[in-house]
Amino acid sequence: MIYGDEGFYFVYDYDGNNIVSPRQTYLINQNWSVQVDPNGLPITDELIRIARSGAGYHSYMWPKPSTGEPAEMVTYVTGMQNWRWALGTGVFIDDVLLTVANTRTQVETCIARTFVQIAIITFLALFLVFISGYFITVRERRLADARQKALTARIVNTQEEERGRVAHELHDSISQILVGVSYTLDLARRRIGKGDDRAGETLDKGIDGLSGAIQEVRRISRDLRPGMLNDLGLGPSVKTLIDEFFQRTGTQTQFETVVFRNRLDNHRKIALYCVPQEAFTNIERHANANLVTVTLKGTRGGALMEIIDDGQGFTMGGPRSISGLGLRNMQERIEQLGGSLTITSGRHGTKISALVPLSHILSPQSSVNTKK
Amino acid sequence: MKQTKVMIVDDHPTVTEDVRSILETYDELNIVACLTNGEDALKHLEASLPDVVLLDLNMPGMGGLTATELILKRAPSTRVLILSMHDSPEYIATALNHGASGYILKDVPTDEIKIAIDAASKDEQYLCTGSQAALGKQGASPQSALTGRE
Repeated sequence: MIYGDEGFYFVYDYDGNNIVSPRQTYLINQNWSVQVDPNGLPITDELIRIARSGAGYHSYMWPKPSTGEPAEMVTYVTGMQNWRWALGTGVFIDDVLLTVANTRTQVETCIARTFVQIAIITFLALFLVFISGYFITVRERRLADARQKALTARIVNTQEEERGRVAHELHDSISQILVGVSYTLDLARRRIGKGDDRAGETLDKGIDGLSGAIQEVRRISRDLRPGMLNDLGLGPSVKTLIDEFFQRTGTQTQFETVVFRNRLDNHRKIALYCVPQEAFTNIERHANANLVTVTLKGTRGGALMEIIDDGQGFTMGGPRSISGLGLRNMQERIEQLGGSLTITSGRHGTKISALVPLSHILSPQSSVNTKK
Repeated sequence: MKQTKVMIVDDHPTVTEDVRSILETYDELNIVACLTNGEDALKHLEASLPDVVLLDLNMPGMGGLTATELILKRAPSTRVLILSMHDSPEYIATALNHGASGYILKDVPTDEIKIAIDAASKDEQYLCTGSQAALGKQGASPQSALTGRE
Protein backbone atom coordinates (compact mmCIF):
# COMPACT_ATOMS: atom_id res chain seq x y z
CA MET A 1 0.00 0.00 0.00
CA ILE A 2 3.05 2.26 -0.06
CA TYR A 3 5.47 3.11 -2.82
CA GLY A 4 8.48 5.27 -3.36
CA ASP A 5 9.67 7.59 -0.60
CA GLU A 6 6.39 9.33 0.12
CA GLY A 7 3.71 7.53 -1.86
CA PHE A 8 0.77 5.70 -0.29
CA TYR A 9 -2.85 4.64 -0.92
CA PHE A 10 -5.63 5.75 1.32
CA VAL A 11 -9.30 4.90 1.81
CA TYR A 12 -12.06 6.93 3.45
CA ASP A 13 -15.63 5.84 3.72
CA TYR A 14 -18.21 8.32 2.53
CA ASP A 15 -18.81 9.39 6.12
CA GLY A 16 -15.26 10.70 6.46
CA ASN A 17 -13.77 7.84 8.48
CA ASN A 18 -10.27 6.84 7.52
CA ILE A 19 -9.97 3.15 6.79
CA VAL A 20 -6.52 2.88 5.20
CA SER A 21 -3.51 5.14 5.85
CA PRO A 22 -0.29 3.06 5.73
CA ARG A 23 2.13 5.91 6.34
CA GLN A 24 0.14 8.00 8.76
CA THR A 25 -1.56 5.29 10.82
CA TYR A 26 -2.82 7.76 13.42
CA LEU A 27 -5.50 8.75 10.93
CA ILE A 28 -7.08 5.29 10.89
CA ASN A 29 -10.56 4.81 12.46
CA GLN A 30 -11.06 8.51 13.00
CA ASN A 31 -13.49 10.78 11.32
CA TRP A 32 -11.85 13.55 9.19
CA SER A 33 -14.93 14.86 7.51
CA VAL A 34 -14.31 18.50 8.34
CA GLN A 35 -10.53 18.44 7.86
CA VAL A 36 -9.12 21.45 6.02
CA ASP A 37 -5.52 22.19 4.89
CA PRO A 38 -3.54 25.16 6.30
CA ASN A 39 -5.04 27.38 3.56
CA GLY A 40 -8.58 26.45 4.71
CA LEU A 41 -9.22 24.20 1.74
CA PRO A 42 -11.53 21.23 2.62
CA ILE A 43 -9.74 17.92 2.14
CA THR A 44 -11.74 14.88 3.16
CA ASP A 45 -15.15 16.26 2.27
CA GLU A 46 -13.94 17.29 -1.15
CA LEU A 47 -12.30 13.86 -1.74
CA ILE A 48 -15.54 12.17 -0.81
CA ARG A 49 -17.55 14.50 -3.03
CA ILE A 50 -15.29 13.67 -5.97
CA ALA A 51 -15.47 9.94 -5.16
CA ARG A 52 -19.27 10.05 -5.01
CA SER A 53 -19.41 11.64 -8.43
CA GLY A 54 -17.00 8.99 -9.87
CA ALA A 55 -13.35 9.99 -9.84
CA GLY A 56 -11.14 13.05 -10.08
CA TYR A 57 -8.22 15.12 -8.91
CA HIS A 58 -7.88 17.30 -5.86
CA SER A 59 -4.98 19.45 -4.86
CA TYR A 60 -4.26 20.59 -1.28
CA MET A 61 -1.57 20.96 1.39
CA TRP A 62 -0.73 17.74 3.23
CA PRO A 63 1.99 16.87 5.78
CA LYS A 64 4.73 14.83 4.13
CA PRO A 65 5.00 11.40 5.79
CA SER A 66 8.82 11.65 5.95
CA THR A 67 9.05 15.10 7.57
CA GLY A 68 5.56 16.06 8.75
CA GLU A 69 5.94 19.41 6.89
CA PRO A 70 2.90 20.38 4.81
CA ALA A 71 3.49 20.31 1.07
CA GLU A 72 1.23 20.61 -1.92
CA MET A 73 -0.17 17.29 -2.96
CA VAL A 74 -2.15 16.25 -6.03
CA THR A 75 -4.46 13.37 -5.32
CA TYR A 76 -6.41 11.13 -7.62
CA VAL A 77 -9.47 9.67 -5.93
CA THR A 78 -12.01 7.17 -7.18
CA GLY A 79 -15.28 6.12 -5.67
CA MET A 80 -16.13 2.50 -4.94
CA GLN A 81 -19.89 3.08 -4.80
CA ASN A 82 -20.91 -0.42 -3.59
CA TRP A 83 -18.71 -0.08 -0.55
CA ARG A 84 -19.12 3.71 -0.24
CA TRP A 85 -15.34 4.08 -0.19
CA ALA A 86 -13.17 6.79 -1.55
CA LEU A 87 -9.87 5.15 -2.67
CA GLY A 88 -7.01 7.43 -3.68
CA THR A 89 -3.36 8.16 -3.89
CA GLY A 90 -1.38 11.30 -4.39
CA VAL A 91 1.97 12.71 -5.18
CA PHE A 92 3.67 15.74 -3.67
CA ILE A 93 4.23 18.44 -6.26
CA ASP A 94 7.69 19.23 -4.89
CA ASP A 95 8.70 15.58 -5.45
CA VAL A 96 7.52 15.84 -9.01
CA LEU A 97 9.27 19.16 -9.38
CA LEU A 98 12.39 17.67 -7.83
CA THR A 99 12.25 14.70 -10.18
CA VAL A 100 11.66 16.99 -13.11
CA ALA A 101 14.46 19.24 -11.89
CA ASN A 102 16.75 16.22 -11.49
CA THR A 103 15.86 14.99 -14.93
CA ARG A 104 16.30 18.45 -16.33
CA THR A 105 19.68 18.76 -14.61
CA GLN A 106 20.69 15.38 -16.02
CA VAL A 107 19.51 16.36 -19.48
CA GLU A 108 21.22 19.70 -19.16
CA THR A 109 24.40 18.02 -18.00
CA CYS A 110 24.15 15.68 -20.94
CA ILE A 111 23.53 18.58 -23.29
CA ALA A 112 26.40 20.53 -21.77
CA ARG A 113 28.67 17.50 -22.08
CA THR A 114 27.58 16.92 -25.66
CA PHE A 115 28.04 20.59 -26.38
CA VAL A 116 31.54 20.51 -24.93
CA GLN A 117 32.32 17.40 -26.97
CA ILE A 118 30.97 18.99 -30.11
CA ALA A 119 32.89 22.15 -29.32
CA ILE A 120 36.11 20.20 -28.83
CA ILE A 121 35.57 18.23 -32.02
CA THR A 122 34.71 21.40 -33.91
CA PHE A 123 37.75 23.13 -32.52
CA LEU A 124 40.00 20.20 -33.39
CA ALA A 125 38.53 20.03 -36.86
CA LEU A 126 38.98 23.76 -37.35
CA PHE A 127 42.49 23.51 -35.98
CA LEU A 128 43.27 20.67 -38.36
CA VAL A 129 41.82 22.60 -41.28
CA PHE A 130 43.78 25.67 -40.25
CA ILE A 131 47.03 23.77 -39.78
CA SER A 132 46.72 21.88 -43.04
CA GLY A 133 45.67 25.07 -44.80
CA TYR A 134 48.65 26.83 -43.29
CA PHE A 135 51.06 24.12 -44.37
CA ILE A 136 49.56 23.95 -47.83
CA THR A 137 49.86 27.72 -48.13
CA VAL A 138 53.42 27.68 -46.89
CA ARG A 139 54.29 24.90 -49.31
CA GLU A 140 52.55 26.63 -52.18
CA ARG A 141 54.33 29.81 -51.29
CA ARG A 142 57.66 28.03 -51.23
CA LEU A 143 56.95 26.38 -54.56
CA ALA A 144 55.86 29.70 -56.01
CA ASP A 145 58.98 31.35 -54.59
CA ALA A 146 61.16 28.63 -56.05
CA ARG A 147 59.47 28.98 -59.40
CA GLN A 148 59.85 32.73 -59.24
CA LYS A 149 63.51 32.37 -58.40
CA ALA A 150 64.07 29.88 -61.20
CA LEU A 151 62.30 32.21 -63.60
CA THR A 152 64.33 35.19 -62.47
CA ALA A 153 67.53 33.19 -62.77
CA ARG A 154 66.55 32.10 -66.24
CA ILE A 155 65.65 35.63 -67.26
CA VAL A 156 68.99 36.86 -65.95
CA ASN A 157 70.79 34.01 -67.72
CA THR A 158 68.98 34.68 -70.93
CA GLN A 159 69.75 38.34 -70.66
CA GLU A 160 73.40 37.58 -69.99
CA GLU A 161 73.53 35.17 -72.92
CA GLU A 162 71.88 37.74 -75.10
CA ARG A 163 74.27 40.49 -74.05
CA GLY A 164 77.18 38.13 -74.56
CA ARG A 165 75.88 37.27 -77.99
CA VAL A 166 75.44 40.91 -78.94
CA ALA A 167 78.88 41.81 -77.58
CA HIS A 168 80.35 38.94 -79.53
CA GLU A 169 78.51 39.96 -82.70
CA LEU A 170 79.71 43.54 -82.32
CA HIS A 171 83.29 42.60 -81.56
CA ASP A 172 83.62 39.69 -83.88
CA SER A 173 81.65 40.78 -86.83
CA ILE A 174 81.25 44.53 -86.99
CA SER A 175 84.55 45.69 -85.59
CA GLN A 176 86.58 43.15 -87.56
CA ILE A 177 84.93 44.29 -90.76
CA LEU A 178 85.60 47.91 -89.82
CA VAL A 179 89.23 47.12 -88.94
CA GLY A 180 89.47 45.47 -92.32
CA VAL A 181 88.05 48.58 -93.99
CA SER A 182 90.43 50.79 -92.03
CA TYR A 183 93.42 48.69 -93.12
CA THR A 184 92.18 48.61 -96.68
CA LEU A 185 91.83 52.41 -96.79
CA ASP A 186 95.27 52.69 -95.19
CA LEU A 187 96.66 50.51 -97.92
CA ALA A 188 94.85 52.58 -100.55
CA ARG A 189 96.43 55.73 -99.12
CA ARG A 190 99.87 54.16 -99.33
CA ARG A 191 99.26 52.99 -102.89
CA ILE A 192 97.98 56.42 -103.93
CA GLY A 193 101.09 57.94 -102.33
CA LYS A 194 103.30 55.61 -104.34
CA GLY A 195 101.28 56.09 -107.51
CA ASP A 196 100.41 52.38 -107.48
CA ASP A 197 97.54 51.84 -109.94
CA ARG A 198 96.00 49.20 -107.67
CA ALA A 199 94.87 52.06 -105.37
CA GLY A 200 91.40 52.37 -106.97
CA GLU A 201 90.84 48.64 -106.66
CA THR A 202 91.81 48.85 -103.00
CA LEU A 203 89.38 51.70 -102.43
CA ASP A 204 86.60 49.64 -104.02
CA LYS A 205 87.43 46.86 -101.62
CA GLY A 206 87.14 49.30 -98.72
CA ILE A 207 83.73 50.46 -99.94
CA ASP A 208 82.59 46.83 -100.24
CA GLY A 209 83.78 46.29 -96.70
CA LEU A 210 81.74 49.26 -95.48
CA SER A 211 78.56 48.05 -97.15
CA GLY A 212 79.24 44.65 -95.59
CA ALA A 213 79.44 46.38 -92.21
CA ILE A 214 76.16 48.20 -92.86
CA GLN A 215 74.50 44.89 -93.72
CA GLU A 216 75.84 43.33 -90.54
CA VAL A 217 74.54 46.19 -88.43
CA ARG A 218 71.18 45.81 -90.12
CA ARG A 219 71.16 42.07 -89.46
CA ILE A 220 72.16 42.37 -85.80
CA SER A 221 69.68 45.16 -85.19
CA ARG A 222 66.89 43.18 -86.82
CA ASP A 223 67.76 40.11 -84.77
CA LEU A 224 67.63 42.22 -81.62
CA ARG A 225 64.36 44.02 -82.23
CA PRO A 226 62.70 44.06 -85.60
CA GLY A 227 61.90 47.71 -86.32
CA MET A 228 59.67 46.50 -89.11
CA LEU A 229 57.31 45.17 -86.43
CA ASN A 230 56.70 48.76 -85.32
CA ASP A 231 56.63 50.22 -88.81
CA LEU A 232 54.60 47.69 -90.75
CA GLY A 233 53.03 45.39 -88.16
CA LEU A 234 53.11 41.70 -87.41
CA GLY A 235 51.97 40.26 -90.76
CA PRO A 236 54.62 41.87 -93.01
CA SER A 237 57.33 41.21 -90.40
CA VAL A 238 56.49 37.53 -90.24
CA LYS A 239 56.31 37.51 -94.04
CA THR A 240 59.86 38.88 -94.14
CA LEU A 241 61.00 36.22 -91.67
CA ILE A 242 59.44 33.57 -93.87
CA ASP A 243 60.99 34.97 -97.05
CA GLU A 244 64.42 35.05 -95.43
CA PHE A 245 63.93 31.53 -94.14
CA PHE A 246 63.02 30.42 -97.67
CA GLN A 247 66.04 32.15 -99.19
CA ARG A 248 68.32 30.68 -96.55
CA THR A 249 67.10 27.12 -96.56
CA GLY A 250 65.12 26.62 -99.76
CA THR A 251 62.39 25.01 -97.67
CA GLN A 252 58.95 25.57 -99.16
CA THR A 253 56.77 27.88 -97.11
CA GLN A 254 53.11 28.83 -96.98
CA PHE A 255 51.82 31.86 -95.16
CA GLU A 256 48.30 32.92 -94.39
CA THR A 257 47.52 36.00 -92.37
CA VAL A 258 44.88 38.46 -91.34
CA VAL A 259 45.35 42.12 -90.47
CA PHE A 260 45.13 42.94 -86.79
CA ARG A 261 44.33 46.63 -86.82
CA ASN A 262 45.72 48.03 -83.59
CA ARG A 263 44.34 45.05 -81.75
CA LEU A 264 47.72 43.72 -80.66
CA ASP A 265 49.90 45.87 -78.48
CA ASN A 266 53.68 45.85 -78.84
CA HIS A 267 54.32 43.15 -76.23
CA ARG A 268 51.88 40.83 -77.94
CA LYS A 269 53.32 41.54 -81.38
CA ILE A 270 56.86 40.83 -80.22
CA ALA A 271 55.80 37.71 -78.36
CA LEU A 272 54.04 36.38 -81.46
CA TYR A 273 56.91 37.42 -83.72
CA CYS A 274 59.37 35.46 -81.59
CA VAL A 275 57.42 32.24 -82.12
CA PRO A 276 58.17 31.79 -85.84
CA GLN A 277 61.64 33.26 -85.29
CA GLU A 278 62.46 30.56 -82.73
CA ALA A 279 60.57 27.91 -84.68
CA PHE A 280 62.50 28.64 -87.90
CA THR A 281 65.81 28.38 -86.08
CA ASN A 282 64.77 24.99 -84.75
CA ILE A 283 63.37 23.79 -88.08
CA GLU A 284 66.50 24.90 -89.90
CA ARG A 285 68.79 23.17 -87.42
CA HIS A 286 66.92 19.99 -86.64
CA ALA A 287 63.69 19.29 -88.50
CA ASN A 288 64.88 18.59 -92.05
CA ALA A 289 61.47 19.71 -93.30
CA ASN A 290 60.16 20.08 -96.87
CA LEU A 291 57.22 22.35 -96.16
CA VAL A 292 56.57 24.86 -93.42
CA THR A 293 53.11 26.38 -93.08
CA VAL A 294 52.62 29.51 -91.02
CA THR A 295 49.13 30.71 -90.19
CA LEU A 296 48.26 33.90 -88.36
CA LYS A 297 44.57 34.33 -87.71
CA GLY A 298 42.03 35.77 -85.31
CA THR A 299 40.04 33.33 -83.23
CA ARG A 300 37.59 33.69 -80.39
CA GLY A 301 40.53 33.27 -77.95
CA GLY A 302 42.68 35.93 -79.65
CA ALA A 303 45.44 35.98 -82.24
CA LEU A 304 46.57 32.48 -83.19
CA MET A 305 49.99 31.85 -84.69
CA GLU A 306 50.56 28.32 -85.98
CA ILE A 307 53.75 26.92 -87.43
CA ILE A 308 53.49 23.45 -88.89
CA ASP A 309 56.40 21.59 -90.44
CA ASP A 310 56.62 18.13 -91.96
CA GLY A 311 60.06 17.41 -90.53
CA GLN A 312 61.25 14.64 -88.29
CA GLY A 313 59.86 16.08 -85.03
CA PHE A 314 61.46 15.94 -81.63
CA THR A 315 60.80 14.90 -78.07
CA MET A 316 60.75 17.45 -75.27
CA GLY A 317 63.79 16.83 -73.11
CA GLY A 318 64.93 14.00 -75.35
CA PRO A 319 68.37 13.64 -76.88
CA ARG A 320 67.22 15.52 -79.96
CA SER A 321 65.41 18.09 -77.85
CA ILE A 322 65.53 21.30 -79.78
CA SER A 323 66.67 24.47 -78.08
CA GLY A 324 64.53 23.82 -75.01
CA LEU A 325 65.43 27.10 -73.40
CA GLY A 326 64.18 29.09 -76.35
CA LEU A 327 60.88 27.25 -76.36
CA ARG A 328 60.45 27.64 -72.62
CA ASN A 329 61.20 31.35 -72.73
CA MET A 330 58.75 31.72 -75.58
CA GLN A 331 56.13 29.84 -73.58
CA GLU A 332 56.62 31.93 -70.45
CA ARG A 333 56.51 35.13 -72.42
CA ILE A 334 53.19 34.19 -73.98
CA GLU A 335 51.71 32.90 -70.74
CA GLN A 336 52.58 36.20 -69.08
CA LEU A 337 50.36 37.87 -71.64
CA GLY A 338 47.50 35.54 -70.74
CA GLY A 339 48.02 33.38 -73.80
CA SER A 340 49.11 29.80 -74.33
CA LEU A 341 51.71 27.95 -76.34
CA THR A 342 51.27 24.32 -77.29
CA ILE A 343 53.76 22.14 -79.08
CA THR A 344 52.90 18.78 -80.55
CA SER A 345 55.61 16.82 -82.26
CA GLY A 346 55.65 13.43 -83.88
CA ARG A 347 57.67 11.51 -86.43
CA HIS A 348 55.91 13.31 -89.26
CA GLY A 349 56.29 16.87 -88.09
CA THR A 350 55.86 19.47 -85.45
CA LYS A 351 53.07 21.92 -84.79
CA ILE A 352 53.55 24.98 -82.62
CA SER A 353 50.45 27.00 -81.73
CA ALA A 354 50.62 30.28 -79.88
CA LEU A 355 47.46 32.00 -78.79
CA VAL A 356 47.51 35.56 -77.45
CA PRO A 357 44.34 37.40 -76.42
CA LEU A 358 43.48 40.58 -78.34
CA SER A 359 42.66 43.91 -76.76
CA HIS A 360 39.33 44.06 -78.57
CA ILE A 361 37.71 41.99 -81.29
CA LEU A 362 36.94 43.21 -84.81
CA SER A 363 36.13 41.13 -87.85
CA PRO A 364 39.45 40.06 -89.33
CA GLN A 365 40.34 40.90 -92.91
CA SER A 366 41.85 37.93 -94.59
CA SER A 367 44.62 37.84 -97.11
CA VAL A 368 46.57 34.89 -98.39
CA ASN A 369 50.21 34.76 -99.38
CA THR A 370 51.67 31.62 -100.77
CA LYS A 371 55.21 30.99 -101.78
CA LYS A 372 56.07 27.92 -103.79
CA MET B 1 120.01 45.14 -95.73
CA LYS B 2 118.76 42.49 -93.35
CA GLN B 3 114.99 42.07 -93.57
CA THR B 4 112.84 41.54 -90.49
CA LYS B 5 110.84 38.32 -90.82
CA VAL B 6 107.22 38.82 -89.76
CA MET B 7 104.47 36.24 -89.13
CA ILE B 8 100.83 37.40 -89.01
CA VAL B 9 98.30 35.36 -87.01
CA ASP B 10 94.63 36.44 -86.99
CA ASP B 11 91.45 34.45 -87.44
CA HIS B 12 89.94 37.10 -89.71
CA PRO B 13 91.33 36.53 -93.22
CA THR B 14 90.50 40.07 -94.36
CA VAL B 15 92.58 41.47 -91.52
CA THR B 16 95.60 39.24 -92.18
CA GLU B 17 95.41 39.96 -95.88
CA ASP B 18 95.20 43.72 -95.38
CA VAL B 19 97.97 43.78 -92.77
CA ARG B 20 100.13 41.75 -95.12
CA SER B 21 99.49 44.17 -97.99
CA ILE B 22 100.28 47.14 -95.78
CA LEU B 23 103.48 45.64 -94.37
CA GLU B 24 104.58 44.58 -97.83
CA THR B 25 104.85 48.26 -98.70
CA TYR B 26 107.95 48.34 -96.44
CA ASP B 27 111.00 46.89 -98.16
CA GLU B 28 112.72 46.06 -94.90
CA LEU B 29 109.93 43.71 -93.84
CA ASN B 30 109.53 40.15 -95.09
CA ILE B 31 106.14 38.53 -94.42
CA VAL B 32 106.98 34.88 -93.95
CA ALA B 33 103.53 33.52 -93.03
CA CYS B 34 99.87 34.49 -92.63
CA LEU B 35 97.97 32.10 -90.34
CA THR B 36 94.57 31.98 -88.68
CA ASN B 37 95.16 30.33 -85.30
CA GLY B 38 97.67 29.64 -82.56
CA GLU B 39 98.22 25.95 -83.43
CA ASP B 40 99.17 26.75 -87.01
CA ALA B 41 101.49 29.49 -85.81
CA LEU B 42 103.36 26.99 -83.63
CA LYS B 43 103.50 24.46 -86.46
CA HIS B 44 105.06 26.97 -88.84
CA LEU B 45 107.32 28.52 -86.22
CA GLU B 46 110.43 26.45 -86.79
CA ALA B 47 110.12 26.45 -90.59
CA SER B 48 109.73 30.20 -90.94
CA LEU B 49 111.65 31.36 -87.84
CA PRO B 50 110.10 34.85 -87.71
CA ASP B 51 111.78 37.70 -85.87
CA VAL B 52 108.40 39.13 -84.93
CA VAL B 53 104.97 37.51 -84.65
CA LEU B 54 101.88 39.74 -84.94
CA LEU B 55 99.31 37.87 -82.88
CA ASP B 56 95.56 38.36 -82.38
CA LEU B 57 94.22 37.62 -78.89
CA ASN B 58 90.81 36.07 -79.62
CA MET B 59 91.05 33.13 -81.93
CA PRO B 60 89.15 29.88 -82.08
CA GLY B 61 91.22 27.05 -80.63
CA MET B 62 94.45 28.26 -79.10
CA GLY B 63 94.15 31.93 -78.16
CA GLY B 64 96.82 34.59 -78.36
CA LEU B 65 97.92 34.41 -74.71
CA THR B 66 98.74 30.70 -74.75
CA ALA B 67 100.31 31.05 -78.17
CA THR B 68 102.55 33.86 -76.89
CA GLU B 69 103.93 31.70 -74.08
CA LEU B 70 104.49 28.68 -76.33
CA ILE B 71 106.11 30.70 -79.11
CA LEU B 72 108.54 32.31 -76.65
CA LYS B 73 109.33 28.92 -75.14
CA ARG B 74 110.08 27.28 -78.50
CA ALA B 75 111.74 30.24 -80.19
CA PRO B 76 113.25 32.46 -77.48
CA SER B 77 114.69 34.87 -80.00
CA THR B 78 111.29 35.59 -81.53
CA ARG B 79 109.36 38.64 -80.28
CA VAL B 80 105.59 38.64 -80.00
CA LEU B 81 103.41 41.71 -80.67
CA ILE B 82 99.72 41.57 -79.83
CA LEU B 83 97.40 43.08 -82.45
CA SER B 84 93.96 43.29 -80.89
CA MET B 85 90.60 45.07 -80.70
CA HIS B 86 90.61 44.93 -76.89
CA ASP B 87 91.67 48.20 -75.29
CA SER B 88 90.99 47.32 -71.63
CA PRO B 89 94.05 47.56 -69.32
CA GLU B 90 93.49 43.98 -68.11
CA TYR B 91 94.01 42.58 -71.58
CA ILE B 92 97.08 44.71 -72.17
CA ALA B 93 98.68 43.96 -68.79
CA THR B 94 97.93 40.25 -69.10
CA ALA B 95 99.38 40.12 -72.59
CA LEU B 96 102.59 41.79 -71.37
CA ASN B 97 102.64 39.39 -68.41
CA HIS B 98 102.53 36.49 -70.81
CA GLY B 99 105.68 37.81 -72.46
CA ALA B 100 104.43 39.99 -75.31
CA SER B 101 106.89 42.69 -76.36
CA GLY B 102 104.20 45.12 -77.39
CA TYR B 103 100.55 45.81 -77.78
CA ILE B 104 98.93 47.41 -80.82
CA LEU B 105 95.27 48.26 -81.03
CA LYS B 106 93.66 47.51 -84.35
CA ASP B 107 92.16 50.98 -84.58
CA VAL B 108 95.41 52.97 -84.43
CA PRO B 109 97.11 54.16 -87.65
CA THR B 110 98.97 51.28 -89.28
CA ASP B 111 102.25 53.21 -89.12
CA GLU B 112 102.38 52.14 -85.49
CA ILE B 113 102.51 48.49 -86.52
CA LYS B 114 105.77 49.23 -88.32
CA ILE B 115 107.08 51.23 -85.37
CA ALA B 116 106.23 48.34 -83.02
CA ILE B 117 107.93 45.80 -85.27
CA ASP B 118 111.05 47.96 -85.42
CA ALA B 119 111.05 48.35 -81.64
CA ALA B 120 110.53 44.63 -81.06
CA SER B 121 113.31 43.64 -83.42
CA LYS B 122 115.60 45.90 -81.37
CA ASP B 123 114.33 44.08 -78.25
CA GLU B 124 112.47 47.15 -77.05
CA GLN B 125 108.95 47.30 -75.74
CA TYR B 126 106.28 49.22 -77.63
CA LEU B 127 102.79 50.13 -76.53
CA CYS B 128 100.64 51.91 -79.09
CA THR B 129 99.02 55.26 -78.33
CA GLY B 130 95.69 54.02 -77.01
CA SER B 131 97.09 51.14 -75.00
CA GLN B 132 99.59 53.36 -73.20
CA ALA B 133 96.75 55.65 -72.16
CA ALA B 134 94.63 52.68 -71.05
CA LEU B 135 97.41 51.31 -68.87
CA GLY B 136 98.15 54.78 -67.48
CA LYS B 137 94.52 55.26 -66.52
CA GLN B 138 94.64 52.10 -64.50
CA GLY B 139 97.78 53.25 -62.77
CA ALA B 140 99.77 50.17 -63.71
CA SER B 141 103.11 50.92 -65.26
CA PRO B 142 104.00 48.73 -68.21
CA GLN B 143 107.18 47.70 -66.44
CA SER B 144 105.29 46.18 -63.53
CA ALA B 145 103.40 44.04 -65.99
CA LEU B 146 106.55 42.53 -67.42
CA THR B 147 107.59 39.00 -66.68
CA GLY B 148 110.80 37.57 -65.38
CA ARG B 149 111.90 37.19 -68.97
CA GLU B 150 112.97 40.81 -68.97
